[in-house]
Amino acid sequence: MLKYLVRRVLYIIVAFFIVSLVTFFLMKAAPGSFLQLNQYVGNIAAAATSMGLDNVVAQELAKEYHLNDPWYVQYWYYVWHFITFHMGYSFEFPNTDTVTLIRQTFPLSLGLAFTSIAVAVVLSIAAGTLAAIRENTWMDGTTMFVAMVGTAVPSYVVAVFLMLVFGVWFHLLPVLGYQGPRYFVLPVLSLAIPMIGSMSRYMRNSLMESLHSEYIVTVFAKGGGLWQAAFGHALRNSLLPFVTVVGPHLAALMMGTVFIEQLFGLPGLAHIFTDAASTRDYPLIMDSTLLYSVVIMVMNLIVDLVYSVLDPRIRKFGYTG
Amino acid sequence: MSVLLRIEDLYVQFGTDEGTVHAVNGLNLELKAGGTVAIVGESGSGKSTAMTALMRLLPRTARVSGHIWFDGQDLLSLSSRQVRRLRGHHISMVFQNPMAYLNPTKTIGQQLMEPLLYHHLATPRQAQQQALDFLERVGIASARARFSSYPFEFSGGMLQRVMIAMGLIAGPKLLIADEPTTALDVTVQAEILALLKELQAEHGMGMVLVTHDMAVAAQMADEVYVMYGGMVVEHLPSHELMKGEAHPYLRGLLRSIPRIDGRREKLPFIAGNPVNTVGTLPHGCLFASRCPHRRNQCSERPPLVKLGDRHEVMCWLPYVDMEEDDDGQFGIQSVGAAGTHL
Repeated sequence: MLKYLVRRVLYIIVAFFIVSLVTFFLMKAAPGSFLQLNQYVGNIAAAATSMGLDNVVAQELAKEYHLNDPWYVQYWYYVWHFITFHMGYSFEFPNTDTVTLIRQTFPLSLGLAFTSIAVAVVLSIAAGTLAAIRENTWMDGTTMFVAMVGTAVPSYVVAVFLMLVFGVWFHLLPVLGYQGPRYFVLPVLSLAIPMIGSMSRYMRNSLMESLHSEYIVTVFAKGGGLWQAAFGHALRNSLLPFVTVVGPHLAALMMGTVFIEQLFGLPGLAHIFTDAASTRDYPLIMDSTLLYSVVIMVMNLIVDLVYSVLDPRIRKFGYTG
Repeated sequence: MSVLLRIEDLYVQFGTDEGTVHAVNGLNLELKAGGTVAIVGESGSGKSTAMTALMRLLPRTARVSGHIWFDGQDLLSLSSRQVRRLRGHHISMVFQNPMAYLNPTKTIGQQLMEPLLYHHLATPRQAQQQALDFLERVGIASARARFSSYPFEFSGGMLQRVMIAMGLIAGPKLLIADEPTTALDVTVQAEILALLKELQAEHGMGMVLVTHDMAVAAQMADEVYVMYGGMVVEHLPSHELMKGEAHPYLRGLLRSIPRIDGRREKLPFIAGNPVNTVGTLPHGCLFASRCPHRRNQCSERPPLVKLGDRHEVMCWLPYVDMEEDDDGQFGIQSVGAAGTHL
């Protein structure tokens, strides 16, 4: 178990460096520069040009960030500063270093993601279980129809719909900004509803498959009822395949937060991340990409650990691969 | 001895897309308290379906008719709540493949205690003690350590011992053993059968043993019911099995058992396929298409002929002398497809 954990953490570190290299390369390969693409700085640059100072700002930036060196040298500077914890300053926000910037915005994004996945997991287990033990009844049909609609509609459409209903028509919940938990309700629902759609269908099928296993016949033969069969035996076993589909959802969820934070005007990292990408704000792109990749890898590790908690065969025999 | 179980005219049908499956077509069976009967037949003969109907574990799509009298009540007319009170308490079942019939993610101990807990026969602490005692009784060494093991840590034979312990822990009057040794090694088979016999004597319970193994049936049971196409074609005391058998199907079955001693020759077998139970059943004898003694009467359903005490056969042959038929006098050779002598 410990050996497995150490190995997985080593994998994460290796993957981390590969991600940083690829990100760095792609970032450099993308056309345009911060000065051309950022409108505000662009205006200054234009002003500077008109005043005959055209290259001063660019030269300052290039010097500060070694932008005129070959990319692999620049990458080496990056790695060195990363290891020595000098993360540098964003182009966009030259007075705050990226670590502070991330520290201010990331908790909100992470909170949003975790709350959404937690809500989605709990609700889809509940809905899937209900549908499975009431197989082929109106309850099953209704739940699965709603789930199908949920799957088909992307989170940003759900978000607009929720804003319209709860914010505009009924004035029940705030739709913009963040000033407390109430501001989280609609963003969380927007992210969770599409996930509940596919996850609850999966849960239903998985539980139904478990309920049709031979060992469930044994439970009935021992005098157990549907309750004992479903909650005492089948549910746990059906969570195993369920957990595997939660993993890939996590990565998609991270991308989902980008749209949702924009739509709801939440001051999260996703917002800053997309801005950084479109303005070629190199230091910020690097640090936020790496952070996202670490979060996804750690979440996947957690999913695998949950797997071993659920299945004694994995727990006792260790891991393969 | 009083009668513990009486099955009267049991019919089981399933509606499928291909047509109605006639799984059991009028089964009659009687078991005395403390006795053992064996139901023998090929796969698809309806033997397991009949027992599953007895346990009321068939899917809802099954149409079941007839009566199954157990302890003075008709199991088929009980509510599902009443049936639940019987299952695992007064009637238990041991299944064929213990690896599949035990939950892979729960410990042996947890699963073993469940009959007691489901029927509120013991507190969890008492149940644990009883489960430990039973594990020892069925021959599992270091029961305490094994109690918290998972099924994948056991061998097939050990798991079947656990299944048997699970069947007996609540003290049933009737045990249904559905091919309990089919999935096991030969050496383990004998041990499991011996264990079943011992425990049966200890607890004085009745047992219905479903098997396709003639030797097992002869060794374990007082009486044998031979099923074909969902019907009992012959019922006889097990000591009659090797000398008094009358139905051509049973003869074929007995002759297709390989022998270790004697001359080596090609193993006789019953040519043809088991009767198709989907759609309308043949009007006449279900075995006629494979029968070496077929004659004109066989296009009508044969009567049940009583040949002796607890010995009946469903065949026309007792009305004619069967012996003169052996050489294929009626134009139907008593030879299997590969030219083997029956």
